[in-house]
Amino acid sequence: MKNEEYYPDFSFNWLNNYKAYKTDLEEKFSSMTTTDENPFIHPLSSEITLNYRLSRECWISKQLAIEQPKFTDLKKINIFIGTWNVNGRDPECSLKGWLNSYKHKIPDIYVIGLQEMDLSKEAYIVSNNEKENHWSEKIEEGINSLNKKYVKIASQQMVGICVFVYVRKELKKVISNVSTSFIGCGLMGIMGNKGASGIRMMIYDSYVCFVNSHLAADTMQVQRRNEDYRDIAKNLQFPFIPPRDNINGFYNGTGFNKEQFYTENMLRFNITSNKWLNNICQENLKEKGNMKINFSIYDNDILFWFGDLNYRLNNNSDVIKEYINQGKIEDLLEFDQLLIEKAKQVVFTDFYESKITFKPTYKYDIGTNTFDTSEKKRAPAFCDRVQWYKASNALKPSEVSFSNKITIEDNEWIIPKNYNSYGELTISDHKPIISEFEIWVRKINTEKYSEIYSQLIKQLDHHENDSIPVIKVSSILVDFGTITNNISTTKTLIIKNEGKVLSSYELVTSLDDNKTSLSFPWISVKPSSNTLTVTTGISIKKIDEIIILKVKNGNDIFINVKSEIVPSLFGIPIETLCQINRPLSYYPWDSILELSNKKELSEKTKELLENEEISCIPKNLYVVIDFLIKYGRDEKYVFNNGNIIIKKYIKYCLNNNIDIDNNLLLFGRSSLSDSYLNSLDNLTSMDSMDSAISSISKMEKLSLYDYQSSESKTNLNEIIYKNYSLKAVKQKIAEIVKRQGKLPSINSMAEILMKFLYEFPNAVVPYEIFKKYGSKFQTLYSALPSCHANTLNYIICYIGDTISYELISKSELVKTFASAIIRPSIDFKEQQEQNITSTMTISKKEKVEIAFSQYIDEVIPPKKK
Amino acid sequence: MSFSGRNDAAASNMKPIQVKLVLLGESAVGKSSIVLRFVNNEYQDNKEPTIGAAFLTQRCKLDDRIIKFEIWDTAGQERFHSLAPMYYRNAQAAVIVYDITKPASLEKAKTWVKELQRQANPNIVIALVGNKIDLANNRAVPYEEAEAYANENELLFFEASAKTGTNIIEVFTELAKKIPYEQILANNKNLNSRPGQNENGRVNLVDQDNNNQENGQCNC
Repeated sequence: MKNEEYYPDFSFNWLNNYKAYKTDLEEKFSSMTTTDENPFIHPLSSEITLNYRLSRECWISKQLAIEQPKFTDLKKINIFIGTWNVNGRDPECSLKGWLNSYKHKIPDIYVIGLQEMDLSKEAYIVSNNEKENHWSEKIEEGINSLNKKYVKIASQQMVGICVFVYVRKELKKVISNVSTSFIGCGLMGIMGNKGASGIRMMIYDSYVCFVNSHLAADTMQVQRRNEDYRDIAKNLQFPFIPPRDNINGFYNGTGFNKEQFYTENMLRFNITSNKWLNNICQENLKEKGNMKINFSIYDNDILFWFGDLNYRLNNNSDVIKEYINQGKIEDLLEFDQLLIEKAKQVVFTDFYESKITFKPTYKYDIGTNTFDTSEKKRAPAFCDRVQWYKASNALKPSEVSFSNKITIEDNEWIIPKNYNSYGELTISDHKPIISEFEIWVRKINTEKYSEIYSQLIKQLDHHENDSIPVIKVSSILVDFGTITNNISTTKTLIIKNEGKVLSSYELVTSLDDNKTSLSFPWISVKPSSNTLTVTTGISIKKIDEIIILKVKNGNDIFINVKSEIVPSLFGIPIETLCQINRPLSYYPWDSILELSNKKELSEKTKELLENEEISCIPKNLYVVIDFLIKYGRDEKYVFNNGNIIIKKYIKYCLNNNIDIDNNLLLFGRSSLSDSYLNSLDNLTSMDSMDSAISSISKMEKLSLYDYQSSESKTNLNEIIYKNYSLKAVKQKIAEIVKRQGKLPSINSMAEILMKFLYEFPNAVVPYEIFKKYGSKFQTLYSALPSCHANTLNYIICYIGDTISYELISKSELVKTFASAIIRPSIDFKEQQEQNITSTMTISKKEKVEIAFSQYIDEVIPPKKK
Repeated sequence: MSFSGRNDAAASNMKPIQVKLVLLGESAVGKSSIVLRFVNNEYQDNKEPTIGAAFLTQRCKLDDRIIKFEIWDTAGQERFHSLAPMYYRNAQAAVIVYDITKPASLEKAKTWVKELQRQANPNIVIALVGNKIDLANNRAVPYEEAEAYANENELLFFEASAKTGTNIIEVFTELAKKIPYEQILANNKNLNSRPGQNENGRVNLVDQDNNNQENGQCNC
């Protein structure tokens, strides 16, 4: 064998999974001591909610661990562990003496480990139970006497390494979940007769594991033995055995639930390491399929590891014998390789062993009690040992038992009672070892456990309901009042988190599961500012909808959004405008919708339109442009911001088909006498006019920020908030015009022209048509619907006329009009008016402007100088 | 046999089965009060009307199973009627409540029954609950009449009082007993094999196994 091939692994990383190890998560939960603490609410709550399930499992585990004393009682079990290297001999002698040499109490459980039970060559190849059965019979003969009867729980053989467990007949019923395992050591686990066999079982409600091993021989092979130890510790694993009659429990056909298993066994393992839990949960979430679970030897409450560990004494044979003769056993221990290696923490870390007070168990001349006298003169050694391990973070038994009958002396899970060798057996070159222990095992009071578990679940429910986000909204009714088509209106809704956890929300309008976000095209939400914005195209009459505020993990809140729509000319398609010659209010809104959406016309609409001429361009647009041609050609700054009051007046006139009072707008004086004006007011009913004005006021108020007015804000508010009569508005306009001349009127009119152009739902020249036919004016003209073509022509004529006065440059006019006329149609599902132009790229804009400039030249050839 | 005790303990640790339960009924019949009594064993006079749908959870032990009720307590006002399908869709259980002092509320309850029979999950278990038996002096709906209607339509039937607590636990326990769990488990299994589906509404109960890790939804 080449020793150099073994590189000892001192990092022990693989142990981390089994050792008490504090993870972040555990750190979070470690401070939690009472059931009052809510696992779902945490300073780092967002992180915790990610691990919602884990939080819950951890909480239950933690609480169960805390409550453990209330439902756990302890039972004392006496264990006899014997280990013997039998040197391949048959049990031709009685084992009665050895097995009955217990000093403490009659054992409840016998655990016997044999090494070199079978040295035959065949043993390496075929498993043969002959020897095992032979020894088994002998052991049974040895332990059973008149007043006690033992039954075999299990045995496991690995070549010559065999372990047997017997239990007193009356205790058999408290043993469950028995599993066995073995592992070979040496090259690839094939060569050599070294290795280990083990048995794991549940005694009452504690897991106890017995490992019998035979490690590498020879004084010089300390590293090999260490290596063997690590091999076994790492690779000896026990399969999980699902409980048989629990259909819906651990094994419900949908895969093994490790978390649940963990919770269940938390108490038994006494593992508080959430690292393990964490791994398990994550694995479980990743692959929900069938998975195998294995338990390491450390996944137990109590672990015994014994056998021919083969560690020698670092001294020569004569010196050792001299010590033995003088009875200085204690002094010999200084040379014990196992104790030396343990002190270095490279093997059997955290294992305990009773003090050795007996003579070395190796090596004897067969048939005698004399140490080796053969030529080899092997030095005596304490080859055969019994070690035990308990989880380092285990509580003291007194902290666990609810009956509290534990005295201070036996406040340990494992109480060694005897550790000796037995010299009478001489068939082997080893002497057998006797060791006795008292161990505490848990017995769970299932009634109390269920009771406490139910309480915990109740508490958890309470915590969970307590951690449901509490979201309050400022109002469950969002009333936009009256709104006008094509003007976006914004309302603020304050959504406040009054709960204890972070949460998120979304606004949902649809019942359709496939659409979780807002599906009303007319409404948009800016979550950052919690505002609702309503923009209506020409498609709806009235808004009365319920929006659902969905709070993640919490309640749904219904919010009613309401609005009345007051129609306006703006935003009505060119075609429709050409068809209606009377005031807008004359037509029912349904008829306007029918016309605009090109639906089949109802009888009523047909009746209304009967005998109506279809104008070639929208009449109202004509009025506006006509005014500009007549009175604006001598102004240089036509396309500046207008006056809000004048605009309101003009819109009012246009909407109601009232002639615009040119004298008023141009000279600040009414062309009609005050008396006539009064009579007019009376005719059209003061009330309705006031309300019309007030609705316009509201509209303006809502869109105030879109139109930066030159008027001071206080003055504006005065006008907006008081319901001025038409007369008062006229007086106000007269004052303005007298003070500033006609320019404010011209500006206002120009602004309304632009508003018209921008707000046609379908552009005068829709971009798609422009793209297809836009190379020449003539082709474009013939491709457009007639009212569009007429309108385009009329506007170009107006522009040409303006150019001829040479006050405004052509390029300026082109810039102003091009993208208002040639643009994509407004899709209200897309966005609001402001964004329409911005959706056109700069290169597109340039293209449009160049083309538009050419059209002007084509329609009105530039004068040659 | 000797380990039956341990298996009981194991059973109580089982993974709870989620049951989506929806409360329906006319405004002011006491739906929220019934839930409050069931979940927190509390009662408040003059509760504000529910605007929206309140969400609460409650685990129940039933034989060897743990049932986790996910309760959606809906608004009773008629104007919210159109939103109800969001909540009763995929529900395994429904509690339809009326007020024994108001005959009109039983009529409304009947329309809910019809709607559920027509549009809800065909396996939905429905309980008809006449609330406010503490006001028996003002009774306007005879017990027999409602019972006969419930029998005819194969509904569970109770008269209860959220105020006194009478029969409240019983409503939920009896519902829990009637739910076809095998189907729920089978559904869960099917859904598990097709992750990514039904990821939308958390009102959708059965999909939570898939996406609870992402959305933090408890999946006990």
